[in-house]
Amino acid sequence: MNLTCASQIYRIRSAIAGNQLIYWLTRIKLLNQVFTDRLYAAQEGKLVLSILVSGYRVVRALVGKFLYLAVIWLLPLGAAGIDPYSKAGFGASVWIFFWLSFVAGTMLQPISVEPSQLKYTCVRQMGMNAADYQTSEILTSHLAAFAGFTPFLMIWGGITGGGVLRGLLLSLALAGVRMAAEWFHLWLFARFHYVPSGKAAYTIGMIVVCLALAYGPLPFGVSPDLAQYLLYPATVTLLVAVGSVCSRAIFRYPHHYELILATCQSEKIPGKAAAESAQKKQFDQVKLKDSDLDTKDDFSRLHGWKYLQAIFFRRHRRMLLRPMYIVMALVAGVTVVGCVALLWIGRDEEVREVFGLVTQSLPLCVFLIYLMDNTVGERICKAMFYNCDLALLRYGWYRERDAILKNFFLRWRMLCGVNLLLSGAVCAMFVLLTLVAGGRPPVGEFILFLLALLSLGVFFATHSLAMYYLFQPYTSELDTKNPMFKLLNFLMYVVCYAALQVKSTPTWFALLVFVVTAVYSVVMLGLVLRRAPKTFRVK
Amino acid sequence: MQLILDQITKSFGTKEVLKGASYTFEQGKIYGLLGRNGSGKTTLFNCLSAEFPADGGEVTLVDEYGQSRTPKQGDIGYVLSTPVVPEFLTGIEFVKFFQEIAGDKSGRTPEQWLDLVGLGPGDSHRLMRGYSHGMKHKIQMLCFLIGKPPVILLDEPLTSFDVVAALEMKNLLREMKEDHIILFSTHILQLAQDLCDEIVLLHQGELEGVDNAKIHTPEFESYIVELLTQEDDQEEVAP
Repeated sequence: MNLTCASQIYRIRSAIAGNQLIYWLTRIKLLNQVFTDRLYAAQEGKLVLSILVSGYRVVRALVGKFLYLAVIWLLPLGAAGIDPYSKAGFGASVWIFFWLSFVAGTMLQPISVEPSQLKYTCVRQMGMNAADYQTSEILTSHLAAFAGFTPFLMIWGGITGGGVLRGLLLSLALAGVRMAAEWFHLWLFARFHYVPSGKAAYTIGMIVVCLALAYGPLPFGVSPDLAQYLLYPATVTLLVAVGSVCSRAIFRYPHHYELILATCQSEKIPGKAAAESAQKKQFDQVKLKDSDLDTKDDFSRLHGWKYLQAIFFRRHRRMLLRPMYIVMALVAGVTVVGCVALLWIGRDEEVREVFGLVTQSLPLCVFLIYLMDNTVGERICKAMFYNCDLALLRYGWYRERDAILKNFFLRWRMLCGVNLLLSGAVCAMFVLLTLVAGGRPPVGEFILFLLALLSLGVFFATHSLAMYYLFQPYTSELDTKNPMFKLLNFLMYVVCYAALQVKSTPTWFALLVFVVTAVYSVVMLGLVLRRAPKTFRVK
Repeated sequence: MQLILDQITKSFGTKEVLKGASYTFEQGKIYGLLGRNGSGKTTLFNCLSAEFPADGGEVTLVDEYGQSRTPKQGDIGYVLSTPVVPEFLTGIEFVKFFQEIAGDKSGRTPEQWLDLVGLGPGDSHRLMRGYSHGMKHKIQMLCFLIGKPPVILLDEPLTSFDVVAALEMKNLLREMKEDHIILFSTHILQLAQDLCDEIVLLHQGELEGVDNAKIHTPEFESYIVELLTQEDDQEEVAP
C-alpha cells in the first residue's frame, strides 16, 4: 500500500469533515462568537479538529458494528425462540452473519466500484493516481472493518461458548472473503465491463435472497451448523490465503482509472443523488406545467394587486387546489364508508349513544384539522414562493410595506377560503354520520362544535401564511433553512397533539378554540403588519 | 439630485468587504463601477438596494432643492445580472399591473410601453416564461422607465447580450440617464469606456474616482490595472 497516498486521503477526509464542522459551528448563535471563520486557516486548530474527527469516526464505526450485530442477531434469535447466549445461538448467529456479511455485504458494497464524494474529489478533481487511491482505500477500509468486527466477534464467541478463537477466525474469514469479492468485481469490470452493484434489481434481489436464506430456516427450528465448516482452521487459512492473493491482484490491476471514470460520476454520489432527487420532488410539487398556462381568460375588469393575484390563482389552480381535492376526497371517502357501515349495523342504542357524544371528539379534530390544513397550507405557500415571490421579491416595489400587506390579505382570504372548505367538508361528514346513526347530541353544543371546526380553518390559514411572511424560510432550491420556523412549526404540532389530552366539556373546549383563534389571529396579523416588511424577502 | 454614500461598511464573518466606501453620484450621469472579481460590487449594490443591511455608514439622497433624506425602497431600482420576471404573466399583463401599482400618469398603454423597448404584439402576449435573457432585461428596464426611481443599479448588465440587444440597451440607458443616477457594475473595461460618463473603482473595500480625462485614451487600460493592483504590490513589498 502506498503510505503517502493513504496519508493524503486521511488528510483530505479529515479536512472535509473538519471544515464541515467549522461551518456548522460558525452558524450557531453564541457559539459563532468563539468559532469564527478564521478557524479555516488555523492549521493547529485544524490538527486538533482532525484528531477529534478521527476519534469520532472510530467511535462511530465501533458503535455501528455493535448495533449491526445486535440488530441482526439478538432480536431474530429471540423471536425464533433460540437462546442467543448458547452454543446453538452461536451456530445460528454464524449462519445469519454468513449470509448478511459474507455474501450480501461483500456483493453489495464493494469499495472498488462504490461511488463516493471522496473518490470523486481525490481522483477526478485532484488528479490523484487512481491505482494508489483504490488500493489504499480498499485495504484501509477492510482493515478498519476487520478491526471493528474482531473484538465484538471474539466477545460473542466467549459469551456464547462458541469460543473466543472462533470469533477471531470468523473475522479473519470475513476479511479474506471481502478481499476476494473486491477482486471479483474488478475482474467483472475488466472482463465484461459490468458493475452489478449499482442495479436496483440486483440489489433488491440480493437483499431478499440473503435475508430469506439467513432467517428463513429459524422459524422451523433449523439452524444449519455452518460454523463447523467455515471456522475450521484449514478453511480460514485457505480464505485468508485467497484474500492475500486477491490483494496482490488488486495492486497489479491495470484498469483502476477506467473503473473510476465509469462508476464514480457526480450524479451517482449517494448524498448528492439523494439530495437532487429530493429537490426534484419538491420542485415537481410546485412547478408549473405548460397546460396550466392558458392565456385565454379575461382579467381586464380587475386592477392592481387583485389583478396579479387573480391571474396567479387561475394559472396555479392545479397545484393550489389539488392537495385540497385530495383531502376532500379522503373526507368524502370516510363519510361514505361510515354511512354504509352505520346503515349496515343499524341504529342500535349503543351507536346512538356514541354519536350523542360526537362533540367530545373536538380535541381529536384539532389534531386532524391541523394535519389537513398544514399539509395544504405549506404546499400553497411553497407554490406562491417558487412561482411568484421568488421573482417579484427582487423588485424593491414588491417589498414595500403597502404591497406586502395588500398581497398578504388577498392571500389570507384565499387560504381561509380553502381551509373553510376543508373544515366545511369535515362538518358535513359529522352532520351526515350523526344523522345516519340517529345520534342526538345537544343542539347548542353541536352547533358550537361545528363552528369550532370552521374557526380552526381560519386559525391554521393565519398560522401557515403568517409564518411564511414572518420567516420566509425557503431558499431558491426550496429548502427550509430557518431554524426558528422549524421550531415554531414543531411547537404547533406539539400543542395540537397535546390537545388530544385535554379533558374538558365540549362547550368549554369549543369556546377555548374560538378565543385561541381570535387571539392568535390578532397577534399574528399584528406581527405581520409590524415585521413582514422587514422579514419577507429572498434569503 | 445626488446620491451620497458615506463610510459604508459590510463584513461577512471576519471578511471585511466594504471598509468605508464613500462617494457622491450625480443625476444625469452613467457611472461605471469597476472592480476585480470578489471586490464587493454586488455587495455594495445589495446594501444600497436594501437586499441586506450595511453594517455601518449612511446613504443619502439630496434633491434639486438641497433637501436630503434616506432613500425609501422605491427610490432605488436594481437589475440583477440574471434578470428575474414573474413567468406566469404575459409581458402585457405584467406591464399593465406595474402601471397600475406605480400610478403611471404617462397616458401610454401597455402596448405602447412594450413597443418602446422593441417588444411587439407577437411577444407582448406571450408568457414571460418563454422570454429570452435580453427580453427579460428589457422588461426590467421598462419598470424603471415607468416607475422612474431616482437611482438605478445594474449589476453586470449587457455581458450576456448579443450585439444587437446590447446596442439597444445601451441606447436605452443613454436616453434614461437625464432623469436618473445610473450605476452599473462591470469588470469589462471596454463596456465602461463606451457607456460611462464617469468611472469609479471599488478596490480594497473603498470607492475611488478615476481621472475622467483618461477614459478614452489608449493608456486607460494600463492606468486602471495599475490602480487596481497598487495596494497588492504594496502588500507584497511590505515585510
